[in-house]
Amino acid sequence: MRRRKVQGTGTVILAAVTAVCLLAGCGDGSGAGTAASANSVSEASGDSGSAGEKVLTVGSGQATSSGLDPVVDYDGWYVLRYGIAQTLTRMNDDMSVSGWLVSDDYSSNEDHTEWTFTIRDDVTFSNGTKLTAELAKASIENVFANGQRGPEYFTPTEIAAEGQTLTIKTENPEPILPNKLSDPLFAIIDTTAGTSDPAAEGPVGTGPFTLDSYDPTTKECVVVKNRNYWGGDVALDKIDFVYTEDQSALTMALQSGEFDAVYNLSMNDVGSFENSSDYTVEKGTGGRTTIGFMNENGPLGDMVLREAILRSLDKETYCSSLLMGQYTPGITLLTSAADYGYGELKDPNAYDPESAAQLLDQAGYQDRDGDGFREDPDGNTIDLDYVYYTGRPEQQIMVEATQAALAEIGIKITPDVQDTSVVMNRQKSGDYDLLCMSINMMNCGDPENQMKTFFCEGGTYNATGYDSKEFNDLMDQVSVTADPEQRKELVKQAEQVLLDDAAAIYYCYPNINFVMKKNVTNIYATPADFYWVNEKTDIS
Amino acid sequence: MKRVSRFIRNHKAFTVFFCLALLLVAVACFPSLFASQDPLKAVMTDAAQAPSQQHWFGTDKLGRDLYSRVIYGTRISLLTSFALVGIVSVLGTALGILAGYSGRAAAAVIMRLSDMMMAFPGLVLAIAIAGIMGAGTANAVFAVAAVTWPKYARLSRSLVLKIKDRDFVAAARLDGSGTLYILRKYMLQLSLPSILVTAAADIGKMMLEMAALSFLGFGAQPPAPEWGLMMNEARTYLQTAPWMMIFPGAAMFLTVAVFNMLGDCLRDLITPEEE
Repeated sequence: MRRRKVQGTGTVILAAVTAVCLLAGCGDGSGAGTAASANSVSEASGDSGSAGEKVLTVGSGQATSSGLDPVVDYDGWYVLRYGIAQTLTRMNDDMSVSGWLVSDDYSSNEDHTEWTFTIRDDVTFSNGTKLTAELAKASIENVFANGQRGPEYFTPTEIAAEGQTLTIKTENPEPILPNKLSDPLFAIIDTTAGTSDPAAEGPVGTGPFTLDSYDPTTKECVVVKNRNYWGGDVALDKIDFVYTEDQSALTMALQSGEFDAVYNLSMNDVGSFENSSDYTVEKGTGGRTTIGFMNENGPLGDMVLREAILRSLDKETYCSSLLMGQYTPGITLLTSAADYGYGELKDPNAYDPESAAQLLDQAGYQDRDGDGFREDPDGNTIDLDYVYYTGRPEQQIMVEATQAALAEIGIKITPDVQDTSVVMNRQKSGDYDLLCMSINMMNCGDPENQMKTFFCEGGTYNATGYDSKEFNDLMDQVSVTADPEQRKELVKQAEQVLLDDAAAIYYCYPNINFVMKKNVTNIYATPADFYWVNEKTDIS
Repeated sequence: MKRVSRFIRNHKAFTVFFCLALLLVAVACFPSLFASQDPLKAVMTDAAQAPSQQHWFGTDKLGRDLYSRVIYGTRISLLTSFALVGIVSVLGTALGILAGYSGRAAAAVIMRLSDMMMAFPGLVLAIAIAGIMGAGTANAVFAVAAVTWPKYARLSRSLVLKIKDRDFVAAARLDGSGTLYILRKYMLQLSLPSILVTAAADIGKMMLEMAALSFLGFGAQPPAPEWGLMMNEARTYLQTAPWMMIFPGAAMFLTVAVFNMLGDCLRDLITPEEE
């Protein structure tokens, strides 16, 4: 008996010691209050590189879908984000566009069917090859030959190169061609470099960094200094981009010093970093909209059901309470940060849960089997599959809030969390009822292309079955209209059509953030959202 | 009455843990008596509120009352772990007795299958099965059952092998008893105490495994008030709203501890000769 007591006491002591050790392990070594300054310069980080190298580790919940080929899906974004390639023009923080690999004196003929660009004379690819108009032409032609979304931007009839002068003739008037060329889809790569598999090997670009390694399984990407960079000395030797969709892992890795910077930290945690003097928080309003796509090739083909869903969502409260006031409630497709009718357009399906229930009652949606959820007028069970990924912190909570709100009016939702790449593929194939995704609608400083891609008939990512002649006609007009005010007016009209058709849920407009240790400089959270690093990005 | 009071006096620990287990079962059977609010009712303006008089355990990310969710979580945890233990003990014992008593062919098939299942790390295989079948409580129960039954099969087979050649079994055979009768009357009956002790001790373990699967996203799905799922949802709020993690975690710790201690006491009760 005594022996057992001793054993029991020993167990308690052992358990206590283990608990203390575990808590110590969980402890915040650096903390939001005491950032570790080590790790970044590789003498401290040990295996990050050879002695004296400046190495930066960046964590993100976002990564490529299938590799680093800029013409595939939205992978061009990462080619730009990782500093590997650049585009002919670039989007500024005020959403205007200026020359990047071309000089600012680009011009067009009167009807905007012929544009002339002058390639900068001092630009070289990372392999040392000089960027000529011929190579730029080959790169643009590659988008149309091997990519999918090119024709949604413009249709070239002729691309001519002479010395450093590049001329693009288009089938239709293209008043914002310079904007369109700033899209990462048109990242300029050396197509003569002999890269057999650009997705895995990475393209040869003109950016300050070149690919060192890319792991298609973990999607970790390491880039190293481009020693031939045309824009001057590159401050960092290496950047390691680590991907994890686990928001708490991102936060804790930053606190522990494992990461030097994190892209788009969760709204739950960003406040504690803002209050700490050891971190810098870069914030940008951006052109993003968190959208709930409603697939009309299914139960959501009934507009009454879509309207009822829209009316049951209290987006004001979601943003103020669930998203800690870090997001702006959505009304229109285009963000409140851009002047596209946020305060003007009329939402016929604003929050009104009572009328949502009434709509369903009147249309014959009733709970016949007493399970608390309505069946459709024909008696079929409704269970809407809501696909999302967790790489962006607001998406999971928006989906679950929708589930809770719709349960109140008797509509059943089943959340379906997947990897980002799976979600992208399912968005393309239409394998969902609802799908939540944050889209940068203003990624060219203009919404035309994204509106076409996601809502026009035949758009690469429009698998919802949404096909409105009125909307398509308006977008056709937008494409050929040069006057900015007139374009804006047409876009607003198109947005109103989407609102009237109850085409999608516009939850909120996310703010983008980049949280970094105080010793990290020149990492950016820009409205474009794809200029993360440049040659000045540094760590002291 | 005297016998009851003598039993309680002699087995104080067992009595205490049995009463606590009964209380947990009562909570699981009648959660509405203990909960203060609807566990699924989301009051979004009250999201992530700290514990208060109105919300004893605070609220979760959607403004649901955490105390009520923890209470209702008892039902899911107990139901799934009891169901799991029931399935694996019945299935594993039946297969084990069959393997031990019948010929070599049946034993070879059953035991090789069992060896195969035991060659995998349990939770990893359960994750794989749940991943293939899709997330959900029923699939998670199936996944954990699929990796746990061999333990019972091996135990019952070894017990059967120990007794099947004993004289009283031979006598029963000579007496004209049928195989089913012998299996039921001798093999099962004699294996039962050990199986019961193992099953009782496994309730806590099953609870943890089910919670682990839910935590990883393969078990219960939102908005179910399941402890593992609740802890998973709380991860991103760990630093700003730690109560979301603490209370479901504490509920799980206490429940598992009660059933583990009850299992230990039951073992001492049923097999006192080992003391």
